[in-house]
Parts: sequence; C-alpha cells; structure tokens
Amino acid sequence: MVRFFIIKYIAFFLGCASCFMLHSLLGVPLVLAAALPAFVGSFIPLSKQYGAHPRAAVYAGCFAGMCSAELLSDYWQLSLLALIGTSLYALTMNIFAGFGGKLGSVAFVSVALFMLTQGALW
Amino acid sequence: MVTLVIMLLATVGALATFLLAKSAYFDAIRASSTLAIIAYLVLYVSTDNPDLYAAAFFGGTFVGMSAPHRFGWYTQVSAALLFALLFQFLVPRLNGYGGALGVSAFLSVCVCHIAILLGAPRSKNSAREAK
Repeated sequence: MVRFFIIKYIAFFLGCASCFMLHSLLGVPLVLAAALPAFVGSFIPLSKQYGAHPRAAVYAGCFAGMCSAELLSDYWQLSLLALIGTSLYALTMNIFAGFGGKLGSVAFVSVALFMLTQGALW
Repeated sequence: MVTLVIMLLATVGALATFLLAKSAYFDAIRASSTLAIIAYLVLYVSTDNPDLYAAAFFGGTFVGMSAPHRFGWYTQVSAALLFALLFQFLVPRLNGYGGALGVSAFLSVCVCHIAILLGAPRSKNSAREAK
C-alpha cells in the first residue's frame, strides 16, 4: 500500500512538475504543456498490481501543474501540491469511477487545499 | 459566434475522445492527450485565438473520458454543451488554478448523471448496458 502510494506520488509529481516547467519556464502553451506529458505518461506499462493508476496520476498531476506561476513559486510547493493531490487521488480512487473530469477535479481540489495550507505555512 | 465555436469544439472533443478511447490502441488518457495535441496544432494554423479554442476542446475531451458503460452519445453531447456553458462562465473565474477545466467537465457530467437518475432520456446503448 505504501509502495503504491509512493508510485502514485512520483507519477503525480512528474506530471505536475513537467507541465509546470513546460508552461512557466519554456513558454509552451498551457494545453500542450498538459497534454504532452500526459501523452508520454500514457505509455507507462500497465501492470496487474497497479493497473492504469500511474497513468491517471500523471494526467491528474498535469492538470494540477496548469497553475499559473504566480500561485506556485518553487519546487517545494510543487512537492506539497503533489502530496495533497496524491492523497486525494488515493482517497477518491473508487468513487465516481467512469465520470469524465474526475482527475481534473482531484487536481482542482488539491490546488484549492494547497492554497489554503499555503496561507498557514508561508 | 465565439460561443457557438466553443460549443462545437467541446462537443467534437467529447465525441472524438469517447470514440477513440474505445479503440484497442488507446485508453481514455491517451485518446484525450493525443486529440488535444492534434487539435492545438490544427487550431494554431486555422484560428486567431488557438489558446482559447484549444482549451475548450481540451475540456471537451475530459467529458469524453467518461466510461462508455455509464454514459452514451446522447449524454456525452449534453454534458459537452453544459461544459461549454461552464467554460464561458465558470472557468474565467478560476483563471490560473489548475484543474479548472476538469472541474467544469466533472460538474457537467454530474449534472447529466443526476438528470438521468431523475428520469431524463438517455442513449439506448448505455441504458441497455447499465441494466
């Protein structure tokens, strides 16, 4: 279970960081910055143990990474956002299965929670 | 005019993703991301505001990521049209927040699901599969 969570965290963080870097550092348009890492992530091999969850976590991370550079300023913040996002993803894994936009909603709620915690921490 | 284009793009995005995700070489994630990349490139050369239109299409693909056993074509089109409305009125208020497109798509799918639960008509295939 812990290993599963760590894999999802790594996938979420990679999606989040790559999307954020593409649009904030390299100036790639937002839609492409989210779709390109997700496309690459969709080639992560499926496994019996983890199913398609690593792919989905990368995609959810990409949505979270679509935040503007004004909201996220360093990579510690990205890692906290990824932690919140992964926790939410793990909690809602079996809820709303098959509903389009679920991953984006997980990303949105994690960004909103991050903004709330950011006010308390920084 | 812009509203009509956004509605059309969201609907095309949803239906194309829904169709492509059924293919053996694609799952919902690969279908959505591939179509978003292609759509951006096409819109970049054919429109004056590719970022806006590509975002509408991208959001539409989220609607199309719904599982075929839950929602059929009719629900997809309804959800995509609802998403187009939310895209115009909700997304600008959440500008800069990641997941704004996704939450709009999710809300539109949820509204359609509630409508189905309340007895709204649905596609024959999905109704049959749901039994």
